[in-house]
Amino acid sequence: MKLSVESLSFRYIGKKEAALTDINLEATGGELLFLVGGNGSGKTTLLSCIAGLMPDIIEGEISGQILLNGDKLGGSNKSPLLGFVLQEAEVYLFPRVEEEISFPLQNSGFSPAEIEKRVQEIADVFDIADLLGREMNTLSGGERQIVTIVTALIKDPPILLLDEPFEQLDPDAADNLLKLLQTIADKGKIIIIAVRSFDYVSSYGNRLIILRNGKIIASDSALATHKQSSLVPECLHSIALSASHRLKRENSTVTTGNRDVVCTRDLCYKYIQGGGIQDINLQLTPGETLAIMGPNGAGKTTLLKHFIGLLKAQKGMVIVMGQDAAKVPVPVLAQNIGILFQNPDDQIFNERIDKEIIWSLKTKRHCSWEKATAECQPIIENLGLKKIQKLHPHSVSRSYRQLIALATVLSSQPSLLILDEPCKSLDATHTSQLMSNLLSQSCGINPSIIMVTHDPYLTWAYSDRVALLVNGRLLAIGTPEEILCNQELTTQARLSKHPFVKFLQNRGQA
Amino acid sequence: MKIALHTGAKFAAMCLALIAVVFTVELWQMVFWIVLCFLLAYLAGVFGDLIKRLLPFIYIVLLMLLIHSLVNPQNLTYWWYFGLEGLEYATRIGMRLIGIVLLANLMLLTTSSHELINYIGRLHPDLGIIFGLMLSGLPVMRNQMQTTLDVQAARGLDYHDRLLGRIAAYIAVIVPVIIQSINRAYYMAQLLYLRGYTGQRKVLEERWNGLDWLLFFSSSLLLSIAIYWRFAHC
Repeated sequence: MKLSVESLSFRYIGKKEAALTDINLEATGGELLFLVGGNGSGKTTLLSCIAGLMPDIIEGEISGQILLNGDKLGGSNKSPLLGFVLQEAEVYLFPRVEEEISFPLQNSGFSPAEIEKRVQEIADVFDIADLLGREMNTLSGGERQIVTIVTALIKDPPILLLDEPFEQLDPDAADNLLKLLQTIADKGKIIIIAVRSFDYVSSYGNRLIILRNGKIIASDSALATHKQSSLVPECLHSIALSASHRLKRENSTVTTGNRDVVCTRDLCYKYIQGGGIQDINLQLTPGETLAIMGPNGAGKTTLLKHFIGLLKAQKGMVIVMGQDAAKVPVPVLAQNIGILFQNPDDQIFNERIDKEIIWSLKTKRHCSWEKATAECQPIIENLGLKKIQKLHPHSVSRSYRQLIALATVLSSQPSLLILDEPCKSLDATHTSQLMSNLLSQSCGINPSIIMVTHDPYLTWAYSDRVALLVNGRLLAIGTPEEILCNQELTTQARLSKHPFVKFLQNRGQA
Repeated sequence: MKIALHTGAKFAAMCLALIAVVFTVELWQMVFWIVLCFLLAYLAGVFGDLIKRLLPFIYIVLLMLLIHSLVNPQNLTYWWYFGLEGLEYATRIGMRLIGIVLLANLMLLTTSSHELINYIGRLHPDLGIIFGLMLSGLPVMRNQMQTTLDVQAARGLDYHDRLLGRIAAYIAVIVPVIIQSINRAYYMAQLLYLRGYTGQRKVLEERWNGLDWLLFFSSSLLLSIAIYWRFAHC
């Protein structure tokens, strides 16, 4: 089996520049191909083209052709042949898992008995038989990812495309997924995975293709990762990144003897449907950066919500800057706390970028619009948003929207910053830009920071201490070296299979 | 023994029974309807779920009883503070409501949404899909609403403020929810294509068996009896 893309170009409707120009690539059955590129490099566009979404579903101008075994894909042959796992894994069609998985079969007119048989078979293969009766909205990120992949595979397509499949997953879950994909590839299918970092490429891929600005700039064996990675600094492997810089704050301004910014005492919060956190004891000293890591569903976000009063402790206490967080209303507590959530689209609502930032400051301070405008100018300039400040927030890319959300958070000069997966969909260049903006003293603030992340590199490079949260309990807390180099702890926190953690531990032993 | 009723038969029977409940005025007949629903639910093994879904409506009915017995203008005879005429009126309305809720939930509880989607799809193929997408979209919208409320509160938005503030707050919450819904719709369109939905779904014919017909005729019979009682005896 052979997939070949020949001189493919694509331009989105209403855009001047082409998203893809003159793409040529070939893949054969049994191959695990990595498509590496930074934000806006055209990875998603290329996968969508191969999946046949252009130009009917996504409008634009397409030229060139995509052939499978010499036959043209899409076009007259309307029935789609490919499995495509979208980056937006949280989007699904039907309320129940079983319906979701069986939908493609229903569309091809299988009888109910046969549908049931096929779904049962594939569920056994992927070991998800117990999920079939569940509701989609009760699944964890990892479970939903597997369901999406199974749905893409149910009609046994020759090609499986995955767009950033590891974003929602903890490192061990990502590793398991890669092993699973490898077994699928071994059965003769073509698998193409789009990623924005070289992290997993050399250990699992057969081949890598590097995209930048809509062009293929290199195509090589996956073993040549080290040679090629210098071409795209935005996708650098965590290990390579860690060699170049480690951007910690020289926070000499920490005044000892000052009271803790955040302090929790025996904090408990249980959900009725299970899960939650238990017996959390944490202290955050002024000027410190604390990373919270742990597997999917360990209660990280639940813990964060207590610091801003969105959840009230069922047992125990949370003291934030001397106040009992459960007793102060959220908007009052928010005046000195900035919290950056995962998805900027959950909050952006103004029609201009600068208005969004100014609104935030005005709401927090209850001051006049003019005063807020004047105070926001330095933030807008420092974050490099000056040029685009009059544009509509949804007309700029996602990574810019994340910067806008950050600006809204920084505008009130909070003394405590809470970050929930701040760099989830950002490439290495954007990540370091965002983090250095956060940590640089140029903004005139030196907040204490709590950040939740799955990325061991981010933790290692930017935090002073790491707290591991497993099954709702605090497993350990210590410096990044102490935690990440400890084999036992990282195994329990499902971090041990991340290439960067492996690298740190190997180096420690040597 | 597993009894397999077709969705179409259940749907038809439910509609007939609903009309019958609306026509019923006699209290003992309403009790009969409610007992019948519970009996069927018990036989189908969904008794507990049915009670759970009924509970919020019980509160509404109790509230109705209270209000009507206190302030219904037709109240003439009083027992303590409670007017008996209003109480009787509210009882009738309340039991009718409970009957309707029971019937609808009995249908929903014994039918998987997949079967329901398929059945509605028989009326029109796209209608079934729309119904299914709507069912899956509701909890997502609710979650999105909660997320955005949380985020904006953490940005300092106080939506317990005075009226003008509340309107501004409404915009700050509703705009991201709408934008996210549009985004979601965009990806759902891609998913529909990727999963081979062409709008020309083959609709599965259902052939009614003896049991389906039995259900259909017995509910027709009950409806005729209810109508007979309504017009011959009142």
